[in-house]
Amino acid sequence: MSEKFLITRPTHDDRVSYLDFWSKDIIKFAEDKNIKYSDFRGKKANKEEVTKFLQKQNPKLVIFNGHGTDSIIFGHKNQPLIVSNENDILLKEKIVYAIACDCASKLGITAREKGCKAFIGYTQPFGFVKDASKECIPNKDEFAKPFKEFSNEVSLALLKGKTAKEAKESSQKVATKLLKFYSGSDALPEYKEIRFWLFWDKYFQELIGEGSAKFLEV
Amino acid sequence: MEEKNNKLNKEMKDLVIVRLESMPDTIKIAFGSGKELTKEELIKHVKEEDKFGKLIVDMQVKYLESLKNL
Repeated sequence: MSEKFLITRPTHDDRVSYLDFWSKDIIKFAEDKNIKYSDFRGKKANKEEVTKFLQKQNPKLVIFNGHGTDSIIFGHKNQPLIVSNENDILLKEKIVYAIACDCASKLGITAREKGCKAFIGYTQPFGFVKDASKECIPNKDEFAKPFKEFSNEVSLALLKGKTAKEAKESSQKVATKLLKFYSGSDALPEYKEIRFWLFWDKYFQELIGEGSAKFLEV
Repeated sequence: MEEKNNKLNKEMKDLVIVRLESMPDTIKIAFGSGKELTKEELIKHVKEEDKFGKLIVDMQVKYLESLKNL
């Protein structure tokens, strides 16, 4: 097994710090399975280093965590990493999962036109519920936990050798399971919001490109 | 017919506002690149019927419909 993946995880504000924390489960899974990866965390999630890595190391899978717009995926301190019709050719031949707002609505499409194999992302902002009393402590935030489970399922499924289509479907199934779980008769008032924003993210999660694309053959 | 549709939209809008008003103060919504969304901000978007407010109403309706299939 020689395929490697790249993961970017800026840490400069509360929201990306949540995504950074969620990514630890993905990294642990990769380490447990001896899957090679490069972790561009914090300041390292910058355009220069990411560009160099994508060009020279050519990872088959890229997982972007960060803020986004319809045409940009951002890195450290909201520095653009990938811009539609500017450097999206860097995603050629790659499978991409972008946990970044909106970028599947345009960047995913233009990246696909440049040869990106499969792009999984969101066509609207990615939202999640936070416990107002646990700010900046993502590991103690139980209200954010279902969003981690839903989002991480895409990456974990890809690392397990599932196709892009299967990874998206698996994440969608996790969302449905969580929607049921948080609908119980003993549901807390907060669960109503968890259900709605999970539904939102599930609805706007999009796969563009080859559903049959795989990171690993297992 | 148009008047009926407008009335229906107003009913939906009012329903969504009532739902948002019941959002607990113990949570915040991390959303997009801006600051977190509060209950008051969400309600403001819906009341003003801006692009995001309309999307929230649309998604709340879709969400309520989806509950039938859970």
